[in-house]
Amino acid sequence: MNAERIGSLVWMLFGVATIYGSLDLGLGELGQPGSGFLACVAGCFVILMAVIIFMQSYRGDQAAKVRVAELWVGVKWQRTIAITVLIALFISVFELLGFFLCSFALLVVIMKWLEGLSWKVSIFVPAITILGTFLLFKTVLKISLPVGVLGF
Amino acid sequence: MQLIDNVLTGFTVAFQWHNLLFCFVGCFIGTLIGVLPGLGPVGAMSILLPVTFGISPVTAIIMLAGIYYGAQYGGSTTSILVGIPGEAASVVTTLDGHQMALQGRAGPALSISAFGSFIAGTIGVLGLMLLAPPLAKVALSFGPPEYFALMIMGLVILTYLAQKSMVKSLMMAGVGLILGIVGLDTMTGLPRFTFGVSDLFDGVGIAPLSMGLFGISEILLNVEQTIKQGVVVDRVKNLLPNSADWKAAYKPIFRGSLSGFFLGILPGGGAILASFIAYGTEKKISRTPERFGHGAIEGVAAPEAANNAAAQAAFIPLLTLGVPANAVMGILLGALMIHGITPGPMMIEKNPELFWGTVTSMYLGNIMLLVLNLPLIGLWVKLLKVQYAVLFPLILFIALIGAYVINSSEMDLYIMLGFGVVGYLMRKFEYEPAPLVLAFVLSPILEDAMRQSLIISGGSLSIFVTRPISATFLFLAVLLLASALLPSIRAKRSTLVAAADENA
Repeated sequence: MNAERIGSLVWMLFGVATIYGSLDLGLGELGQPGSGFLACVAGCFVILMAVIIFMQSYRGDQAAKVRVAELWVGVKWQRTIAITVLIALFISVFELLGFFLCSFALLVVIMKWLEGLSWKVSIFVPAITILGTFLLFKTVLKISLPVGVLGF
Repeated sequence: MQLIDNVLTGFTVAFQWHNLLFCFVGCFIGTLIGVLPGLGPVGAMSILLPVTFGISPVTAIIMLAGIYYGAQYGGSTTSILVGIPGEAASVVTTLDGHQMALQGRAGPALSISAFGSFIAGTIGVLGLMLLAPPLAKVALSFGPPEYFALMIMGLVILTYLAQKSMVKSLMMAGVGLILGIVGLDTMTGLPRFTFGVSDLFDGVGIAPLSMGLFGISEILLNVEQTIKQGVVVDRVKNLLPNSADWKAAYKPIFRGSLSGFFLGILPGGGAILASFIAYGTEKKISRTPERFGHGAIEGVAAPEAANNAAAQAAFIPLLTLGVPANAVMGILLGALMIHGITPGPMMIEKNPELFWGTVTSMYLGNIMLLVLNLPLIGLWVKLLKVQYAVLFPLILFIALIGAYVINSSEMDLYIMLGFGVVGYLMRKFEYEPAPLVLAFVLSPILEDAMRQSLIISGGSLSIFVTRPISATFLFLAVLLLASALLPSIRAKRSTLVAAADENA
């Protein structure tokens, strides 16, 4: 399917959802705009723009007229998914396992497993970076970082 | 006399050792991220925003400002030596700068770029000193309708100058306005679009949002591609330009500085547009336009001067009106507000140390950048050889920790990741994130201005067109929107987009 049409449909849905939410909040009156007034106006504007993009996608001279599948041809999109999953995993256990363990695991996994760097680089670079970051936040800026259940 | 007093006050602040140190840190990081392709000043400033929490507001702004104008210097190094723009505003520098490097003239290209940037930066700072205070006085007469109209004009200009589709950029501005509404309504106290999540009562944070849209999405895009690395020129000889180079470059430097400065003041304008216009102007007025694209030194001097002057001038609307001119200034506005300072016409009066300290530090920063970018060129050449496979995990790590420490909140990390994925998809589908971020930052101010205007007028929309200043701003916005529909202008925009794509 045409990427422009898919994109515009997603934003149309976003606009509709915003208007629905803004009606719930209350539009008020012109002389006393309510909490949902600007959201409703902006939602209508988003829908209007999305409709224009949708209609433009039928024009022959569209520069961005590509199919959705083509956006991922010739690129290693699996790596993008792998990084996204790794970040999500990092976030979910960050407070539980603490700053040192999670940060070190994340960096070593990316550098060794995903990027295929040597063990020397994959261990030394993260170790120095993590220690430097800890010193900056904890010692210089006095900002606490999670210690986790392991106590460090 | 008053100006001299103010400048002296500024230098007293800027010369304090910790401000000098953070100014240097900002300039160094700015040059670093300018040199490294893949992370722009918006991403870097967002990532480093939490670092500023432990320091005073003036020190924080001095450092963040240093990152912005430092990136303009650093971006040219990569453009000249590698032929890849290190930063978006250095795209046009690639055309002639890299050709000069290939012809064995990397030294003069780098030095004229650094000297041009320094001269332009100096002109920019002087302009800022002279223009900001009177402009702030004028801004005191602005009421809510004027502010509302000014912000609408800024958003329209930004979308008009969008590299891709203007319709998509306008839509992104609409999405930004909606995202800016999330949180408690300041007038009624009602939670809006929070879905019962208490972490969202204060709204979506500017740092996780911009880190996601600019930093994380950039990483996600880069990891799916094979990043080409290769320093064409790794030994730079004869660094200083000769008299013929100076003769050819001095006029373009001054022209670029002036045009860049005035384009930088424009809400929605900025360094990228300034560099394109300066290059186009030089090519147009040159007696030998055929040399452009084949190593003409004017093609390096003018855009580099323009992007630096514009970077300094972009501070004027933020510091005098409280309205950020572009996404970078949006991040700075966020930083100021986190520190409890609301920029605007009263800021110069209320916080003279902050205003004059920041402005004068820019001058010191320009001197630091000259030192960083010329004698230390070897360091940046070495850095260009570091593999992206080593760099990106570190950038990702700093972004994650940076987003967390703002509120010690896991939710902020999820928000950043969410916007990272959205930003990745947006770039794939050619939606630009800059209008979204600017509209997001402006949303609360714009909503307040709109509501107050309507309350004042008793619900009559005519208040926006019957007051001369707001009517002028809105008229200009409508004029721009209408002109974008003209076939000749549409064709010109398409040509510019194609040229930018080819060079990027």
